[in-house]
Amino acid sequence: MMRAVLTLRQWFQAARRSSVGRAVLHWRTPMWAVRVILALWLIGQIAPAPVRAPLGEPQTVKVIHPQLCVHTRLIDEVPEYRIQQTFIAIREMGAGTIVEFFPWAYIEGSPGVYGWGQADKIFKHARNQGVKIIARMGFVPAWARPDLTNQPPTTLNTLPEDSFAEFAAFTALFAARYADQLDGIVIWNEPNLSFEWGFRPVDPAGYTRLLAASYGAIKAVAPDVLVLGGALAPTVEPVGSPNALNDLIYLDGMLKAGAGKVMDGLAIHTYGFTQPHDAAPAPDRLNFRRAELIHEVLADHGLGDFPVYITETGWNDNPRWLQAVTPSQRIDYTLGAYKLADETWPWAKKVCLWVFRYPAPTHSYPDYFTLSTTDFDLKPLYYALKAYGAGSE
Amino acid sequence: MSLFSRFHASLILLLIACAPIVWWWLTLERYPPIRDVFPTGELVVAIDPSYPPFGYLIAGEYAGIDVDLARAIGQRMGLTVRFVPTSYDGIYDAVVTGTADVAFGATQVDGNRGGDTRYTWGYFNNGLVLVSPSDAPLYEGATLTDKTLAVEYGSLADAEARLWTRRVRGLTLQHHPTATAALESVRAGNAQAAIVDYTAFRVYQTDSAWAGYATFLTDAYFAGVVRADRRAVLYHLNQALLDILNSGQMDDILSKHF
Repeated sequence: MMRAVLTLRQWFQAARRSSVGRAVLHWRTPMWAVRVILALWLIGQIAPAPVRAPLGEPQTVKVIHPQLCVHTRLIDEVPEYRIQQTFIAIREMGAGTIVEFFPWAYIEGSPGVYGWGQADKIFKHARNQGVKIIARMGFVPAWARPDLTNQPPTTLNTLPEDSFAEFAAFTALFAARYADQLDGIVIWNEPNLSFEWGFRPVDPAGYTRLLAASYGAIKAVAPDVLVLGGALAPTVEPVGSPNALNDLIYLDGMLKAGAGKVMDGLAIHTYGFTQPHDAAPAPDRLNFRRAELIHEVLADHGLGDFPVYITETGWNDNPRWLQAVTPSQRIDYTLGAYKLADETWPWAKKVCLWVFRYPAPTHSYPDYFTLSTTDFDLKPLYYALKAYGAGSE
Repeated sequence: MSLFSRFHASLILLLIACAPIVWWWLTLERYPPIRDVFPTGELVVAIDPSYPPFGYLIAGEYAGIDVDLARAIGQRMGLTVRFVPTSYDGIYDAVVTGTADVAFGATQVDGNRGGDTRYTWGYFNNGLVLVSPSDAPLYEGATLTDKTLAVEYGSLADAEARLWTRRVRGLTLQHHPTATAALESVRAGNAQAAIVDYTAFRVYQTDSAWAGYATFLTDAYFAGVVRADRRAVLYHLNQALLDILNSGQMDDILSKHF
């Protein structure tokens, strides 16, 4: 250690003899060092220019099948050119409408402070490509969630009744801002699933109160915007299940609570899972034609002509997921589903596939619901739908 | 420098040298024992029972790699394991809300995800592998010059292979509707190699009794998910998981399912 101390002393003596050392020891920096640092910083700033997404001539979609629609995931998309690329691909597919999620928590992070940037980008490119948007609303900002001391944290899906009015006010603001480009606003997502209802017991009457609050607020500022209830998830969970409630029973509960008067249409999800598009529906079975059972519940309440918007549907072709089919079956069933809905479901206004593309892979079976990879490799199903959308039956 | 000042200088240096160790010791997190962290004696595990071989149901009973791993962890911690079936969409929220202590749902460590959850140690690498016949093994991408590479169309493997076509001269891609079909092509001699994920390779090996050679190209670890503020839960789970990994018990679990 003594030797080390002496060596250190010698180092200081040597440092005092050199110009650099003197500069460091006396906190003086010679100009050449400043220049080197500046040059290194400038070199570090050299980067390729970001890919721009300038708007071209306004486009229109050649819609042959008005039900053709796809759910997108653009709210988390960072490069703007990917948003534009998505809308171009959807227009070329012949789909005049998309469904997109606009989380309240993303836009109003603090009460009364709004960040519309990403939503504006999405609507700008949708307008430029002539595509309408069904906006799905949800995700509660932390400031609007209950403060449960010593309780597990709430999730983005926990909306206390005290905050219904604030949620409604936000949806109204949104509707007024984008009214000309909206094909509808879906109030919440899958409220008949516990985890989508903040891991609380599901509550059709409670959800109907949320729907009523939103309906009133939206109609006051944007009377032409369609307010859609739901979107109900397909499930056969019985009454009392902690996980969910059968969508048919849940809808019945909603309508008994007066939901029919506070929505312009009903949004539902109906997945095919492992069954073909034309497999017969049954209350204890989940398949594409479960939508017909939903329609029957509406008809039982005197709403036989009530518009239904299928805002999520489709098949998955993951090789290992138990609810998946093969890629060729997926194409056959999807095309068959559109033809079936076109020919026999006049009440189904839109049939929207889940999902066009994810901004980042999930690394699990949800990736096999997409029409495009994250890197924008369009899958065979996309081309099959494009041919269908162009009128090739 | 006098002897006195040398002594003081050396003492100061010694203290400086020891400071990081003292700091580490003072800030070392100490966790309560398992019985205090899990007072009910129960480990609640969220699983996705729709994704074999990791989670599925046989005659109403949970089975799979994730299920066996959770049971092994519970056994090492002296806890009873209770499973909560959860779809993949809700698996992170299940731990955030306290519905489950940990989620094992073939959940891949995702660097983009942060905030309210943390991952345990990885227990299975589902990265992409380059698969070739064991009698003509290929060890790296550079050996694929003028060869045919089979991949599942539109998959991550396809994306990786497309990058390789820019680097490897004469590499031809052969697209298939599934990873299994890509491996079949290699087995039949129609392609010299395939890129698939490691699970697809192991499942195919089991189903076909084909001894292909696989070498990892990327890493993609499956891990348990725990709520970020439940550090003691994460600590005890990781201790048990490390024991399982180091003792070879994880290999036994994998052998049972592949």
